Amino acid sequence: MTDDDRRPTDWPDERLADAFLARAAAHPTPPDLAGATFERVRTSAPRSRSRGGLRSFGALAAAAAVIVAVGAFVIGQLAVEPGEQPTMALGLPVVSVTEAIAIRDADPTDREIAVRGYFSPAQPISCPAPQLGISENPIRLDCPLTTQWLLENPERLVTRSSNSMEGHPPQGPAFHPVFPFLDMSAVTAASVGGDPVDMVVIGHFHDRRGDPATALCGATENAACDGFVVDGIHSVGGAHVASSTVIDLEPWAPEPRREPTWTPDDVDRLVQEAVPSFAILSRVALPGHRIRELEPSLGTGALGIIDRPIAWVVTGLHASASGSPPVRRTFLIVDGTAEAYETAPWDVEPNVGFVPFALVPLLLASPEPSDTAAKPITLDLVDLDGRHLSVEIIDESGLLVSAAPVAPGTPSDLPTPGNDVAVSQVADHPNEIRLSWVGGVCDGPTRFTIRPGGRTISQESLPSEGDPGRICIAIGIPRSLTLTFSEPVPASEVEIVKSAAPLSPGPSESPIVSTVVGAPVSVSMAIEHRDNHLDDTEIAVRGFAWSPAAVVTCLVRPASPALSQCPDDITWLADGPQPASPGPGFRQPVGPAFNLLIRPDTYKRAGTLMGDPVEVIAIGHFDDHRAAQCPADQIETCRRNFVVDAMLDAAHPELYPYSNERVVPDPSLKAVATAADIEQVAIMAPRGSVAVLSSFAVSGAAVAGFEPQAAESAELTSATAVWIVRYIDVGIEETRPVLKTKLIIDGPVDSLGGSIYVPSPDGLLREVTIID
Amino acid sequence: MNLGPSAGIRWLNAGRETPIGPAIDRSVIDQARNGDLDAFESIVRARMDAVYRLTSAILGDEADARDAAQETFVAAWRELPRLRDPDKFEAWLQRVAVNASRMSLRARGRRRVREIPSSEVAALASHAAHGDRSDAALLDSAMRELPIEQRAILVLHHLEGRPLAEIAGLLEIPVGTAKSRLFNARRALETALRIEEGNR
Repeated sequence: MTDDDRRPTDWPDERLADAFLARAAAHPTPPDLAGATFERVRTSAPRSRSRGGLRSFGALAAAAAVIVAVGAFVIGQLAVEPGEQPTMALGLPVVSVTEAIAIRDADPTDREIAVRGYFSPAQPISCPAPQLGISENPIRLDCPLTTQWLLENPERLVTRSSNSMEGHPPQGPAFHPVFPFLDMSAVTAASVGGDPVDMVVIGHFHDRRGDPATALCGATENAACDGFVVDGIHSVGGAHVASSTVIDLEPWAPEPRREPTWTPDDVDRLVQEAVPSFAILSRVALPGHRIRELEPSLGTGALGIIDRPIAWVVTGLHASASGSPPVRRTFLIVDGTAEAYETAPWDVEPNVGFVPFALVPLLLASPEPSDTAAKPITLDLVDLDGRHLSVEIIDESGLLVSAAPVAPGTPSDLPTPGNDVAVSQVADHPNEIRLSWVGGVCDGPTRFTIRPGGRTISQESLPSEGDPGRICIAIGIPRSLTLTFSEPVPASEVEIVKSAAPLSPGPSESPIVSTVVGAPVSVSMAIEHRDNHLDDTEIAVRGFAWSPAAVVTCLVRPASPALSQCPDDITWLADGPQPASPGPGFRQPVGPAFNLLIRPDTYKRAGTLMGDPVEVIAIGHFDDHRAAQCPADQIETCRRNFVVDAMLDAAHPELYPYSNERVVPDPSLKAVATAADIEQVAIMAPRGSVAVLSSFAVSGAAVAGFEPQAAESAELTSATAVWIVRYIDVGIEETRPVLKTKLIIDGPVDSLGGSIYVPSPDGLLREVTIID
Repeated sequence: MNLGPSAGIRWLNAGRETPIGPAIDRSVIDQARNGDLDAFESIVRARMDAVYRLTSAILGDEADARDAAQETFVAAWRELPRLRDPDKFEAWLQRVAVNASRMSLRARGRRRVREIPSSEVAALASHAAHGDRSDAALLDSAMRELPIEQRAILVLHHLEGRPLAEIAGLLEIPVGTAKSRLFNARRALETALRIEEGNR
């Protein structure tokens, strides 16, 4: 038995290598490529020589000398007596500037070193104003930083006379230091008089933000990000300098200034609790939308930090137990939340450079019960569309340490039917629970009161200042917050009790409702549409629905989902309330009515229809594309059937976002991808930005039951799992709301885009990716 | 331009050699570092085949591979003065090419799609099914299913014949990480090949 017999699809190395070589041979180098490439090189902007100059600072730096005014002075080495400087700094041996340069040139890594040198600050020269006043990269050596040096010897680089000043390059070994968001007050105080400052700094060369492969350094040809990045100032003139704190919360206009929930001490404790033996060098607090000033890779919206009010960035040295030199670690923590990240090895995600990091919950506020109980905490929950909800937390238990909103877009548990709020445990955080619910834009402020013991939380709505006649959108808004207690609180033991006051107004007080497809129409209007303007426009119809109260056994034959069969023909939507006593037999409608075709993949958030009519909003359409698969003599009848895509309770017309998790036709099927993955691939838009009614996986053998056109594709019908995504296209590709369906073969995320099928009136289409 | 010894440079690949082209004399690299365009042109011509083979193998698309190869040399010209050790030029160039390939995929940004009747797809699939798909064709299809990082490490190891330690250095990751990545990539490739073979 050979390897291939045992594992028939495994390829031995030899076969794989042959295949790689044959594949490469099939794609020879285009004959014109070398010439075309060289032409691009030749016509590209000339290579910057200033970068090389940073290392061979002799002649090139001399050329860069800044002469502000004419006047010749002898540049000499100052007679400065070296102060008592430490030989070790936070576990790192202190090296000289010359030794640091040798390390830089020999070691391409960004390892942390401690360097003693003489700091000569940037010279007061005229520089072009940076665009928008915003630094593209905090470590970029823009003017005047190219005149800032850390010197081996105490050279005075600026000479002054009564009417002139001249700058000079260093004569001895030197390199450019940069101090991104560091408190420089100790240095500034010591540099009065213009003499270079004897100091020990801790930092590194080859910073990831300057990696040329990432283009984060900026587009300027002469940009250079290869200076020495100082993470902390250890001592100045022999005197120890405390770790740096910079809280710079001034927003770009017109955003309002926000104040941090945490103090620097809170942040220190959070990090040091999670990472013992961590010596903090610096901590910086910035508004989220300014994070690019410190971390350019996050300025594009990565990790969503730009949407957070305040982010803390903490850098320090982590001493290992093995006795090896401490290593630098940098953490990014969203203020007031448990959301945290750590810089990742650069190869993990070159354009972001951060990976999630788990904090250990701490007592970040005074645990005095009386104080906490006396002061309600008010949170402002903001959703992805910027809508605010005020939530008040009252702690009667004395156990609450802090409360914080969960960042919008964070997947959360949703309440089970019949409950308004889901309670879940934050993973690995026994002291933290998360409350999640789905609200609407008509929701007023909400209050949660934590009763003594911490196991019962009452929930009530507060009076709203809004206009009672305003329009509510029938798309739910996910809300979530985290409560941190001083002791473990199992989520399973927490009960949410609704107060007497209703969270949402009753039907009689119901405001005007609009849905994602517009205001609901009456059944009569829907019938008029069907009879005179038949098309598949997605509409919302408000009326009274019911199905037989008794158990009905139906013989269902395989057919198109657009074909009305039992019990569709006894499930009704009528315009008005129905008589109380229908008498024997199935209830027949009084007044305008039509049948509802409710399918396994119909999104349902309404009470049972079995029994007395209930007021609902049915979102759906006539003229379903699957009518083409109805028996030939019934196609026109099928076109006139109303297929329900979502059934909502008229009193609570919110449509859950992430409704996909609620539609599970085949619980035994284990898909590789998640609904979130599928939605992004299907719609090519962020989750939540398009009204997805459902996305669910079915086996390939069953997919034609949902989408008959799938039978045309063996790839679909033979697949282990196929995702069906239904979403409402409102103004993206259509001028009217239309339900769209895509079929995606399940698999790893990176392979999902390869097989997407689109049912349509023209037959089954397959999406083919075209590279821009 | 003298490119040095005619023996050329080869990587061992599963007991065989994968040529990357004639050896480039150190002096040529030094001249290029100092801004000599003629010297750099000779490097482009000497290494274009190797670079294109790498970008093509990773990206599996001619247009992408062509762009990435061009970007490789443009970046190499720009960054050559930063190269600490000219003796490691070959590995450095490969790293630049891998990064250029990665960036090429990222630069796609927004994707456009068009839709074609599935019957045409079925016909294409049928044609492929009735044809004798070579190992190279199977590999080509399977590679498209893998993320870029996995493709890169597979190409470096199985096409370029780079040992793990060199791959680790080239990708700037620990050897252990390179090993686990290669293992996972190989496993993912086998899964993809299994599917492709099922369609054979």
